[in-house]
Amino acid sequence: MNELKAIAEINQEIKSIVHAAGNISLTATNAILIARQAGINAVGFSVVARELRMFSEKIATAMQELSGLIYQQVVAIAGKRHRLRSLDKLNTTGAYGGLAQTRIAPACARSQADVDEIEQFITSLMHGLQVMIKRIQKQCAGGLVIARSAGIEAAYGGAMVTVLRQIAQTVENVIDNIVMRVKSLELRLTEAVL
Amino acid sequence: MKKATIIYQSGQHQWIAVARDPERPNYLIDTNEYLITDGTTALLTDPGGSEIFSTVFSAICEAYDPADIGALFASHQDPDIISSLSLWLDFNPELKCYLSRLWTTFVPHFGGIDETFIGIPDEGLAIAVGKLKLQIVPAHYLHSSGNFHLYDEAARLFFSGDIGAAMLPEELNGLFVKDFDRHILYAEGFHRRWMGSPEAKRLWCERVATMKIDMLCPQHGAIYQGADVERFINWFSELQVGSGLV
Repeated sequence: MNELKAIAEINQEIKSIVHAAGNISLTATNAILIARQAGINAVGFSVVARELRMFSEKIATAMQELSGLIYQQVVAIAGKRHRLRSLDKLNTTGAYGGLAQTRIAPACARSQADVDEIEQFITSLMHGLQVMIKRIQKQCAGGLVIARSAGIEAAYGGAMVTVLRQIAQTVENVIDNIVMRVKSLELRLTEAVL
Repeated sequence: MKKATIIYQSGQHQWIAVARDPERPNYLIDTNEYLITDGTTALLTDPGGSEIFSTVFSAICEAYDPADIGALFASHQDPDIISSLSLWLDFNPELKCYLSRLWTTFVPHFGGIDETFIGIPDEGLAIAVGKLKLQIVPAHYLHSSGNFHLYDEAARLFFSGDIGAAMLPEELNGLFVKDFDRHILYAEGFHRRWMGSPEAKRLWCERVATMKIDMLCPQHGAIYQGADVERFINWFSELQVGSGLV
């Protein structure tokens, strides 16, 4: 697939995850307020809701870092395309043979070396992206545990038990959705590398 | 491939015209490049677009070592003038490029860094190419708002950028103008449309008429020589040009 197109699709995926993380933060804030209404019985839920809000912030930060790496990737890929175009023109010049070939040869070699260097940089960036995705997957696993704890704590919510259960379920669904999107992101990155 | 033709020589002092590529696709406008050298170093005028770099470079190799080109001169900012810049810099990263100060932050989009460019002030500039003294002559609004030509007083040759350009049919497509009256018919539409200011045109004609010019060398079309130079200046001074004329 066209590398820049693949990157654009990865960016879209990142945006949707950031959006979902924002939703968790809002829901968690709402949950803290409701837990306050439920009083002493919902103290546990309130603590878990705070954890959820922290989780959503961590995910948003990780996504921001991922976006930074993706931006570097776009710059590198655009640079590579530019260099490849130049290399093609320089090689065409060399194809005229004779003096032109001899005189342009060092520029061709330099240009090829530039392309090789950019390709190495792109590979290292891809590696960095994959490492970051693994880290985000671990964070998501932690987020799911917190969401399930919220479900358990909701049972002690007294009069607010139904609402708190609903909130816990919503958060779990959203995190499930994030997990799926992160998996899809990992797949897209693997495809982009190949 | 383009052909390199020596159009002036006095000792080591040469003007080499690089022109007429028979394999050029029709969707690319034809251009003329001129290499001005004192034998040790050279300046290349309007080196052309990236699409024709290969043919320009190869043609120059037949007549001159491109490693000795020290500077490029861009009459203005158009892609057919200077979009090959990054390729020239791939070949020699130390190359300098003279161009209007107006374009020194625009043309780097084609390539180059701050050190590459020598911004020409509006009033023009006297420059040296080895032992040669060249005069960069203002030609603003003809057609670009930051536009310059190049005068070599010793050789009596004048590089006139887009002024004098003509879109010639095959039968008139020689390197030199042979039949001024027929030739000029193919220059008229271009000058009416591209030259934006009657006042700038008048000033240019007055200035150039005082110079001793044996050849007027445009970036497109054929070279005017001898009496055709004066004929051209007179024709241009009479031509109605200006904004809004199509």
